[in-house]
Amino acid sequence: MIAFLILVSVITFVAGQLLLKLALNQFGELPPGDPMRRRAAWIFAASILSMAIAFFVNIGLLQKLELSYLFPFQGVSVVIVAFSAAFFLKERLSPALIAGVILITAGVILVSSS
Amino acid sequence: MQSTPTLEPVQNKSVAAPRNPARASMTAIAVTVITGTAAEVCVKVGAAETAGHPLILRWLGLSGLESKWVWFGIVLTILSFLAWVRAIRVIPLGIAYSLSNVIHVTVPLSCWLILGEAIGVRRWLGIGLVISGLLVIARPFARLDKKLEETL
Repeated sequence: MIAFLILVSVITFVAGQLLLKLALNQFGELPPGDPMRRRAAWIFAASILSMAIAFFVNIGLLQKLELSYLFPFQGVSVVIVAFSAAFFLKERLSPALIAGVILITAGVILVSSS
Repeated sequence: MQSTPTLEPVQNKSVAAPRNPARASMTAIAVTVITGTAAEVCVKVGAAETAGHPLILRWLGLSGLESKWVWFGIVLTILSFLAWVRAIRVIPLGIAYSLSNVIHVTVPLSCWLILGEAIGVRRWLGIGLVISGLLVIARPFARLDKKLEETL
């Protein structure tokens, strides 16, 4: 159950970030009054709903677990966000970004495991 | 009430674009990190206070709403979110999110400086790794900053 909830909190958090960026991209591209802006507003609402689920599942987990136990999973989310942004939002995945993401993830895991 | 002002600048992006979008994003990331750190601490205090309170859907942690600390955490999370919307308006999500992980340095460092908590060798090593990762990502980003400055 705990493992499943951690998975839910990571997936809803990452999905929320991706949807938020997608909505902001569309708001930036579409001119005011474009009918597609309505759809972008729904994507924005969906991103907030997704992050709200992540927020409350996270509180539920914090009631049972130590913050330091949950932190490494947030560290792994750096990798997931960077790669899924490249895949879904067609963001450029530069070698510097990949190297930085690996260093940050390793660092976060070390910080929280000690 | 709070949500309209955030959408406004997005709609008037070409009009109200900040003079230096990359640097404005960096400032916004800093605000996100500071309010996010405070929110995390408040939520943890509130969660610990309300742990074990019987309520429906216990796995959702809704009983946390009985604690004022969780409400402080929610307000700070909203502030952090508003700053985050500003931050990722112009810069790629992958870069912004990686940079926001400076929080893993600021939290232990502030615990060390303010609360006098000890930081072990492994933790210092981890902090060093996170900082080096941030520098690796932020360096090409600083060049992008310069390029943006030239085009504007």
